[in-house]
Amino acid sequence: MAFKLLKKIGVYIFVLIGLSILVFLIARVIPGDPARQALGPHASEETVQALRERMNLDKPLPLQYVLWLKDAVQLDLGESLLTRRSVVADIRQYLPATLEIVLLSSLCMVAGGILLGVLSAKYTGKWLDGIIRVLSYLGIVSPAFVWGVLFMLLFGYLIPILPTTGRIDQSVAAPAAITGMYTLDFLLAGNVAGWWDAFRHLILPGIALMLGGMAQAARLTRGNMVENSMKDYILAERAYGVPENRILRKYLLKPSLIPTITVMAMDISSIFGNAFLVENLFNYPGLSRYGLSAMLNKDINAISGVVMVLGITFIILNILSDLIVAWLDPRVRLMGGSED
Amino acid sequence: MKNEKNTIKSPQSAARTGAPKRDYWDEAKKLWYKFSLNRMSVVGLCIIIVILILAIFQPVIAPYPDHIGAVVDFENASKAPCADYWMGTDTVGRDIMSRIFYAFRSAFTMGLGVLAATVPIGSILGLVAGYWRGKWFSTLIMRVTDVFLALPPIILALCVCAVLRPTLLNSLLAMCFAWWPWYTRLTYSMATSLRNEMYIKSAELLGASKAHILFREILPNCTGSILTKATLDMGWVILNGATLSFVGLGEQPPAPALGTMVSDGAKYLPTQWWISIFPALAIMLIVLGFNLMGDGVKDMLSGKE
Amino acid sequence: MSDTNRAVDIRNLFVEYKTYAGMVKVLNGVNFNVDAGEKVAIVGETGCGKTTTVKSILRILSSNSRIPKGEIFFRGKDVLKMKDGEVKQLRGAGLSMIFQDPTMSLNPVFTIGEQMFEAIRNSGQEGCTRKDVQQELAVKALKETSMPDPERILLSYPFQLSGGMRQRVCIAMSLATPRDVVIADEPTTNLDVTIQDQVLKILKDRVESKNSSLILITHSLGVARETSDRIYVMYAGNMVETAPTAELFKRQLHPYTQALMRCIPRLSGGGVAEGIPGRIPNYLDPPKGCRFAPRCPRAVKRCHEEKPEFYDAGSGHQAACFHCEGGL
Repeated sequence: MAFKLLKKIGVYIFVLIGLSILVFLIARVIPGDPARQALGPHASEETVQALRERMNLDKPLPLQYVLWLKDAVQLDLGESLLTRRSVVADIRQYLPATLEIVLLSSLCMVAGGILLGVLSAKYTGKWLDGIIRVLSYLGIVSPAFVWGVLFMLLFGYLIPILPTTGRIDQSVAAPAAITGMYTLDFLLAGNVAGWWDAFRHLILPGIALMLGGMAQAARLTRGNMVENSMKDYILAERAYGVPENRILRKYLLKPSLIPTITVMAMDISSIFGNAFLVENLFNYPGLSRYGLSAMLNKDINAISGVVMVLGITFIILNILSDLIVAWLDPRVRLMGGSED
Repeated sequence: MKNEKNTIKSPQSAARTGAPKRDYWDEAKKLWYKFSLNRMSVVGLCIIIVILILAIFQPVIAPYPDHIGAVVDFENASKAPCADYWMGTDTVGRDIMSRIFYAFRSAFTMGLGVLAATVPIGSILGLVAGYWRGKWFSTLIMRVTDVFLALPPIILALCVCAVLRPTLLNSLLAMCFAWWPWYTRLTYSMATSLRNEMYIKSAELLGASKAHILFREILPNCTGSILTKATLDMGWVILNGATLSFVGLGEQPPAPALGTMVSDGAKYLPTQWWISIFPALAIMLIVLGFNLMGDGVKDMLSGKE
Repeated sequence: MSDTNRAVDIRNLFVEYKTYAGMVKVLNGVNFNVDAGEKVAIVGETGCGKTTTVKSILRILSSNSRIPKGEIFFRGKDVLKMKDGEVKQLRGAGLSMIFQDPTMSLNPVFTIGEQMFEAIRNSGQEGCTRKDVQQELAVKALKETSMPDPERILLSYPFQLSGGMRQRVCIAMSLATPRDVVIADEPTTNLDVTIQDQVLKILKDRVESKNSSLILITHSLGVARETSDRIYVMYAGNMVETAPTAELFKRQLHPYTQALMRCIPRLSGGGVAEGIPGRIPNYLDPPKGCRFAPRCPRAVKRCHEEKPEFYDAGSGHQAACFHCEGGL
């Protein structure tokens, strides 16, 4: 099993490298001249040429890649053409904000989704199941930005109880940056009022992001549980007098969760994708909004940086989900599971 | 018989000569019956058909067919939904409903275009990689697929869009770039499990050509999954296309696109809610329709396998 | 009310399933009983309702099932009228069931030990909620089924054991705590032929040593002969004949049983085995009267219109056939 894990990590590293090449190629294939674009039409030719040289744009493509890679490994991702700061500094500022939202959304998504799925399976055919199924359907088909718009309308304006922009109110001072995540930092500093304010700002974008995944998780969990509930081993457990609730919570839940975990890992990574729009909508200063403006403004260093961060996150998520599946499913743990 | 060649082109065709002609009409009727067993799928199909009709016949059905262009009518600007304008008008006085109907065209073009390109290419790559699993090119194909799958498709599409000029065609190409690996992975896993089946082994032993095995033996067993996924994907591709136009990539104004309409209207929330909400609901409706159909397609094709 | 000497007594049981296509009328008035300590086999083709019959005793039929008529007595009490608490006791201590496919009847993501402990925990026996008592009982039960290294087995997962071992685990689980009745639903059908004998022998031994009753479902007359004191022959939702084992093999009264006997190839005399022409009836629209009548070589007009009762032919031999009416 350990060998398989190592082999998988090797594959992931390959994927990371491949991703870097892919992103590099995309960024460099821009028609037009990034240096010229950054400096504007009025800059002199010498300044543009100087920038070109600084960005290594005059060297052959493979060499450019190697130089870029060398810098990247030393955590130097170049300079953002928009903010004029190092991309790494930008990422360090914006990443925690996005992480905060994604963590909150993911937790709610997983917990809520599984809970709803279990309830739906327990009361199959009854009205609660029907409601959950319809809501899940709606949740799956609505894109995150639609939820964002709807909730902004409902809770931001019609019933103005939640803020719709930013991370904290202007009246509140940011906490000392330990993790960069305002909610955690406020808590660590013991500032409950501050925490509440930061948390309130997370609610609307967080909900918009998590609904799709939660609906998916609920649907999957329900489907798996209903399918497994007809298997012989559940019947056998019932025949031995095991109480129905215990069967549901323990013996039915575990085998049903296993296929769901892998899909949820993918859903979390798609939360990152949807964050691009939702952060924009709510003017939330996170990594995705930074990445989006980078893409719209052809800020190639920033694009590469953001995409690499996303790639690494995806890989970490995959490794985590593999570990969790191995923990839940002894067949995977002891037999090395199914082939690729 | 007719075929005078000595080599066996396909073991099945040797048996097939002399077999009764397939009654395609009857098979089609049976497929429809299986599809229609699921009521919700029929509802989904109806939704999609209605939307298609609205899209194709927009010039005839829409009340203000010319509002898709650079028309201004400030007298009727920002009107709430009323008898004249069922879904209200936007800030320059264009009828939202007519624009939505027209926007359906680019949505469907996107969906069909992307799938028409990615499904064949992705599936064939996956079949090849799966059947020849272990060979160097199979590993190469799958590793490249893994790289592409490492990012949410929307991000890949955004990247590509970012470097190209924003047009409908370019956003379509960007989506293709992001979408093909899903089909590769799908057919790869099916091909790897099917290639050890007895009927494949016996076809190999009988000397069937590789093309025959791939396309006449393995592929028919995958069509069910492929078509089901493709049906569901129509909705997702359209949704992602709307996402792209939401951020301003894709079809440019004044041509209407669903995502663009949502983002333009978002500025005017909550007072002029109709500008944003109706296009958003339209997107949801399309995705819902294809999702509902997906279940039916799955049932329709699963019995066949 | 029923004779409490009987562990299980099923009277005139009708069971149907609600499906999209209509009501599937599987059981058509089943009469069946088992005495304390008796070993009874139910023999019949696939789909004749054997599993439905035993599942209804434990009340583990699927949710689309209906029982319009009939009574099931367990030790004198009507199972169908039992409250939840009594049903739990019924399943925990009264009966246990061994399923056909040991791969599917053990939860794949829990250890053997966890599953056995759970079964013991719900038996209501004294001390059964204590881990050490569960361990002790489980190890003892495994040892009795000749399993090597029981402690290691308890820590293993089902996929790590062979088919025969899994079925022995199921047998151990079913008799880890005292039971009045053990139900075994085709316990050896999915096993290798070489293991079948062994598993059957263990089953028979264990049941006898605990003085439990055994209801063994099988489609093989040979297995029934080896293991049981009495045999029921079942066809299309009815018990058509019952007799003590030796008696049944000496003479058969019901045409179906006679045909079954002819299906078995014999080494001595007899010649080639025959099949039975025709097919089992459609349960959605079953024939009126005797359900075997359409295939029966001895059917008369009455058979197609009236349903035969179980007629007594003496020495514990009964058959549901008009030709046996009034005894022999």
